[in-house]
Amino acid sequence: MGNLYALSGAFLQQWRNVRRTASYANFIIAGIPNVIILAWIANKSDNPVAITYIAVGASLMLVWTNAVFRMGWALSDERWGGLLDVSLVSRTPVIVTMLGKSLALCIFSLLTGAGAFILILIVSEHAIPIVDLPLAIVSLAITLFVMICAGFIFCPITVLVGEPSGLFATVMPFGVACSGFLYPIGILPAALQVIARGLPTSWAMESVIMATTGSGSTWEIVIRWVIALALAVVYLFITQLLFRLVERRVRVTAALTTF
Amino acid sequence: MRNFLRQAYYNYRGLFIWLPWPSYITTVVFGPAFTIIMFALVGRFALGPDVVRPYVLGLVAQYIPFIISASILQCFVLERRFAILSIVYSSRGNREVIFFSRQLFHIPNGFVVVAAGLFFSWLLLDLDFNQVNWIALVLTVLVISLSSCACAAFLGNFFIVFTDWILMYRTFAGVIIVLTGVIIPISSLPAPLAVFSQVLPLTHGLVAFRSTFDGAGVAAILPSLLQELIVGLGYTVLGLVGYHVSEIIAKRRGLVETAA
Repeated sequence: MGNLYALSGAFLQQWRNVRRTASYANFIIAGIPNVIILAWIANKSDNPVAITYIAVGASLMLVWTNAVFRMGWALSDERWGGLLDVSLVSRTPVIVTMLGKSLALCIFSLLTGAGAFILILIVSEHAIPIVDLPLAIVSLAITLFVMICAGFIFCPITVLVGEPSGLFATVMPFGVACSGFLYPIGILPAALQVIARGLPTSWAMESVIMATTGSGSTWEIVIRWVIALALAVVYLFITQLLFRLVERRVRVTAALTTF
Repeated sequence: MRNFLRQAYYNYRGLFIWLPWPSYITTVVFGPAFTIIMFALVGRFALGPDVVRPYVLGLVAQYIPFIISASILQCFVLERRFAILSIVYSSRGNREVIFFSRQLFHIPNGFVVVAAGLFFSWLLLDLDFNQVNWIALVLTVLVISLSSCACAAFLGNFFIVFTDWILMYRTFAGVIIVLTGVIIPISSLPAPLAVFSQVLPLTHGLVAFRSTFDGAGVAAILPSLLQELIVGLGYTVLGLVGYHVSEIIAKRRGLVETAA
């Protein structure tokens, strides 16, 4: 119960903070050009599956890039703000506090994703017919959930690798390129396909497309949900281990509020 | 000359925050590679295999102004944030030397990002190099790098208004990728935007860049390179004037040491 209280508190704190943060404009500005280009490609395409991929995937791409960047720096922000020592003194595990913050960041990121979806539909002048709406909604919810799990792992990783500036210049496009947000995983180069299959987002995204276009049976969609969720659990488990490593390291090095 | 080189070196070492190797590799090597792969595969899937080559070449070339503008803009803004600007302004040093020294060591980054982009495009997207005119390609990269430096330095003068270099960089990068013909042909742009694209760095250089992969020699791409150089020259003049004006404004309004 106490952890739940801490989780909701962290969520609210981050939610209020993110609404105020002027730097959020960065992400909107950064996302608009890519969305314009993708909308233009969708407009020129006569492949309905590709248009579906672009409309849904561009939205998820924005959610991913916004959320993973902010989640990735969330723990470092605690440290820079001098709050990590307070978190460590409290009985709430750091991972719970950070999860609350990450959830707030992801939900806020959905707003830009929704905006991108509408923009692409307008520019591409195509409607997206959804074959199985309930399955598509569940698939989308699972995709968002596993996206949080996949992005949350970068929260401790950023601290453990020494918070290098520019780290997410690779993480963000890597996640988009290998998650199959914008095209089927099958057209990736072979080496990247292997990596992509280790990402829960790639399986979840496939289920979204199958449910939307009707290109897969219910059974095939459910299998992808199960694999995506199983991988997400693995990611969460590893994240928990990494958080413990962070706690141990900052206690040993006393690097709580300083570099 | 020694003073110029020393200033250029210390400015680059001290203020280019992506210089440590983990940051450099993620921003200059792997980040561009994944973005190129992403757009090339979207194009192949949605429009067919014919678009992959022009998309890849456009995306590789557009990373020259991307990287150079990011690195130069951060140097301008961080100079003020780290309170170094007051020392610069209190010195009697030649302002033109200072202005150009902020650009010198960023030029090689244009070559590095092109090399990395082309390598990954060859490795993962089977980009064909059979017809490439390498001399013309190197010259084109140099010219695009110069015009990108000039444009970035011009934009750097706005550090007294915009303290967030990332916001400036992302706005500039967005304009470049949408309006210079990287993916959307300039002929498809609305007329005012097509005209505006002519004064952007990369627009003319990109024509030459793509031509070098069809075997075009230096003579064939010279008109495009000259246009690119003229654009760069325009930004240099504007940038120099802007540098003097920004110094006057910063001193008058006491913006020199204000933490960003």
